[in-house]
Amino acid sequence: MGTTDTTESTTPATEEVGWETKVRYFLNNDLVRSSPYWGIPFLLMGIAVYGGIGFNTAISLTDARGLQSPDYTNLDFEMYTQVFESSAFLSAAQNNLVLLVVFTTVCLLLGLFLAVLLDQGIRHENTVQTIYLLPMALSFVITAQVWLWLYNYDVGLMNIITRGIGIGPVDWIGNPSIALGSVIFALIWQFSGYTMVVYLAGLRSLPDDQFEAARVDGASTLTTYIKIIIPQLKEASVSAAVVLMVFALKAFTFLYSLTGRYRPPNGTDILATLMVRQAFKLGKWAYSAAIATYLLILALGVIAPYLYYQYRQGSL
Amino acid sequence: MGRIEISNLTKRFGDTTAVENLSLDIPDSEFLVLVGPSGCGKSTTLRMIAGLETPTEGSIYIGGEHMNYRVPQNRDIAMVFQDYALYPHMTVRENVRFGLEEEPGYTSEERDARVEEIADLLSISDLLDRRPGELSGGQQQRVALGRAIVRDPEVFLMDEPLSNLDAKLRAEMRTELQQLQHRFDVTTVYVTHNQTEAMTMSDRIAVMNDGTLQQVGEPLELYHAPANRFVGGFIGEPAMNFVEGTNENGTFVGTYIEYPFDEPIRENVGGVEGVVLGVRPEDINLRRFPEDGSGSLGDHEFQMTVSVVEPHGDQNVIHLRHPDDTGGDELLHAVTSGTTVVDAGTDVVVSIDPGAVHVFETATGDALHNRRLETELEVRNV
Amino acid sequence: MSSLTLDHVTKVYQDDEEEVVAVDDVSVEIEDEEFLVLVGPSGCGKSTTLRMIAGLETITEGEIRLGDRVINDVDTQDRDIAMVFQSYALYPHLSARRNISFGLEQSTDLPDSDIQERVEEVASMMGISDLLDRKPGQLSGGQQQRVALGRAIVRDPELFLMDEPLSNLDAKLRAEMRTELQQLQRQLGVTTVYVTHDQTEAMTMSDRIAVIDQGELQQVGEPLELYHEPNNLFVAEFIGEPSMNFFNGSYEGSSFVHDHFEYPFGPQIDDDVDGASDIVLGIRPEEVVVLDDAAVGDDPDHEYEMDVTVVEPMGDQNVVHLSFPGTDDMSEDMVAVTSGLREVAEGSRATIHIPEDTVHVFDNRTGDALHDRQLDLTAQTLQL
Repeated sequence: MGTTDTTESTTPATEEVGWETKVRYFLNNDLVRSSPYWGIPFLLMGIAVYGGIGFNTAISLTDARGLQSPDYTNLDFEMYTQVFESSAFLSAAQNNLVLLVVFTTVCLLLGLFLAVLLDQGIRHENTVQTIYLLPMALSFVITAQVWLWLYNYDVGLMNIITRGIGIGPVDWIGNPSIALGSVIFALIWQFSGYTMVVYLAGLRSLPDDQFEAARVDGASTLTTYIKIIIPQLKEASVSAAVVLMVFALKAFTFLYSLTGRYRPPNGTDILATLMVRQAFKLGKWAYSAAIATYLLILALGVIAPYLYYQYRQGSL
Repeated sequence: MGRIEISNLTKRFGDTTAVENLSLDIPDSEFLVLVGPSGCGKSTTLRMIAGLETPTEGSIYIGGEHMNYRVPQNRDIAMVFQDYALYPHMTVRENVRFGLEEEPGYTSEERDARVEEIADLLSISDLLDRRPGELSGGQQQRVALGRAIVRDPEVFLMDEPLSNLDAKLRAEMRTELQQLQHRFDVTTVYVTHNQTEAMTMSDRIAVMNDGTLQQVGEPLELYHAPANRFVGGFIGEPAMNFVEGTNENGTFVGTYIEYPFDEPIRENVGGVEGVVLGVRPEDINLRRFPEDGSGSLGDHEFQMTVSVVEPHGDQNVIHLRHPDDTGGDELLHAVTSGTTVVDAGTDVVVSIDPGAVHVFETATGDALHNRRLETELEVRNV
Repeated sequence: MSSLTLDHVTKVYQDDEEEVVAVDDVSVEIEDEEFLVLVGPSGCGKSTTLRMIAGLETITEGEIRLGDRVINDVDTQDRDIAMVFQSYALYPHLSARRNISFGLEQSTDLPDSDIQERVEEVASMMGISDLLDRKPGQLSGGQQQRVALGRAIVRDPELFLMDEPLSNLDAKLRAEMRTELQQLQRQLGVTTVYVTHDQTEAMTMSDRIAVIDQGELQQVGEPLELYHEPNNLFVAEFIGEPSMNFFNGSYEGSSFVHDHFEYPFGPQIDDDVDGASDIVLGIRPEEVVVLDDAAVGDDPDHEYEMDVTVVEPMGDQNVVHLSFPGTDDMSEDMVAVTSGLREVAEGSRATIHIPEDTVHVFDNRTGDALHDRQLDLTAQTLQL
């Protein structure tokens, strides 16, 4: 009883709806009303990114090289096997992986360490933050120049230090077994400030009462960080890691700037440099398009777990 | 003018139905409160009236005009949000004036004058040049109201506007808001989960639960004649007592108590078997249980033990359990006057007048019998 | 278990060169197993006081003793206290089980099996046994509240500290948890300090209430003592809902004189008020009698004609707002509470009786109570 009997409606429940109203209704539809906002990015993305990927894949299936235009009549995966069997590709892929893993891990750990230190209440933190973020603002070209000076065999700061502590000068860039390490070190210098800022923001967003509750629970500061605080920085870690990995894949600029040529120092060749060299120096378009596809697969391999994570969190 | 008619309104989000087949007629200048627990669909209903959500089915009319296809700007409504939604970078004057900027037919001077006039009405004239951050909660609340009123809309929509205020201020603003509404005489739909706000402010209350309308009526109608168990339990604080049991030949039989129905109740309850006895805490009378254990209990009396006493000052809430019940479940709550104090552990005699009893059907929750009032309610016009 | 003593505790904050006194010379003694509620408006210093007891804030002056031990310089970790936070402060990445066991793991050397046993025991006490493997994000507000309480209980501390633990719950659940929390505290017998701004919580849950305003302790006492015998205007206004009615006036020739009415005092009030000039008359809304018809009652000296401006029906009672004829100033309003079964029409005129044995008189300058209502609290006990 009593649900609708007090509210007799004076207007007819069904109503003749003219076509004007229907058009108005269609135009009022959320999807239509919002189209200017999603439509334009959608088009731009479609053409620039997915179009590019499609074109690249198409070329990789041909035998295109030199100056003739690609011939699409005979498509196969020959280039992919060729690429996969070359030792240059394998060592570049290996370097790529090492760069990816070492650079990302060290950056995250170092950033976390710095962030926790800073969160412990060093005064004037804003200036400190800026100091750490500054390297991030530099372009790869500048970083490369700076580190070329630092790594200079005769007058570089690094060798002044090594001489000082008596290990003698080291050929940072020239020695193939050290070169990759030197490059990674320079990149870490550039990016650990960024991870620190990300972690610091994560720490700041945790409510104070998390720390206080742990204190009341009897936990020491170290235990509080290890068991309570750091596990809650998972989100920050994941997003920072993705950004770092993407930059690791983009290290091409840095390597190019070290030498000013398509061939980076020995022992630091990565997929991107290999691809560019094959394409623009040797004109092996199809071959390098295949390398590009491998690079894309590698990048997807990095992003996919992140997307899956986001999906599980329900934010996709 | 500002009459709102809602017919067969339904809103679905994917598979979930937020509002189901809601029909409601709100006369011009009425203060209607939509009340219900969180997630009951009351806010969705308000947002559909405002045009912030599109109805899946059904129609909304304001002042006789069909509203479904109109954007909020063209509905001649004003809305007050729970968090006030004031613009923090503008002064109070600019905040209030902002509501008028888009309104045609005013010169700049008229707009300024209108802002002053509204500020005067709400006694915020001396706050006009401050920013929201410098105001207290109650003052912000007034500014938010001012921004709504300044446009002189046909309909006010309010979404829990008092829920961010502390108890004392909320009680004050309740009265003030109600008086303002009377003065402006604008149809108002007010959403809250707080039954006290609903009872004290509204002309009529619409109770919602699980997306469906449970009952519409004047506050005291809902209080004394609830349509079902949900309304009975939702309206009133402390809540109505419910005792579940069965109806055996005109007698209520529960786990611990038996309560014989009198003739009028029997007539209404009829042959329904599963029933719930409902009684308001203030309708339970208590007296001390004779210490020698003598004296017989009447048909509508029971022996019980006081388990907890909550003093409120003006009244005491007494929690009672049955002596045979060792589980510690409380059977009833009773309310006594503030100067009557009982200690926990005391044995008492509880008597429930048949005239104050509600009976609900267990299966459907519908009210079979509501308390009798005619003889007791002194309708008094001093 | 032990008593807790706050001995002239003061907290001063340094805020840009300026000194802000958050807590000013507060002394309270909380007995073993007592449930003390610290209540006051926001910013009154009650939370700071609690945080000093917890060791989350330093103490500027004074001493806090737990039992006989001065704990001013004891680390929070070593104070043997448990605290329930307003936000619950559950660890979001840990299951309810781990949330509850964390404190035990940190503060004791108990073997895992004992810890698990204690956790299970507390969980069944709180009725959350089947929720133990969920994370806080998967629990409702009320369930999170229970986990937070479980986390405090499991430690079996000397002292419970609770900072507005019920304020995030809805009204019905809050009323339920009030009783439950109170029963739990009795059962466990742990000394408890509970902070709230809600006077209803203070009244219904506490053994004693300490009212704080602007950092200063206003009054400590049992709930009904504060309600019926407030020390000053602040306590009288803060405790009770709807608030006590106050009228500002002067004391002239054994009467209270107000712009709109005069209230003659009997000899006893006269005695108490003697010497004051600027006084405030106070009366609780439920003691204001709205007479059954406009006729004069038994006590014409204390009866007044007033207009009914607003009636707020609550169901069980009506809150009636009254004003003296010829005024439209809202601040001159009087509020009365009548039974829910009586209907009083808005806009009508009524005769109001203010019984002399229910009035309070305060000194307007100091705010101190000069005379409290006549009520022998002990004799009234058990009066059914």
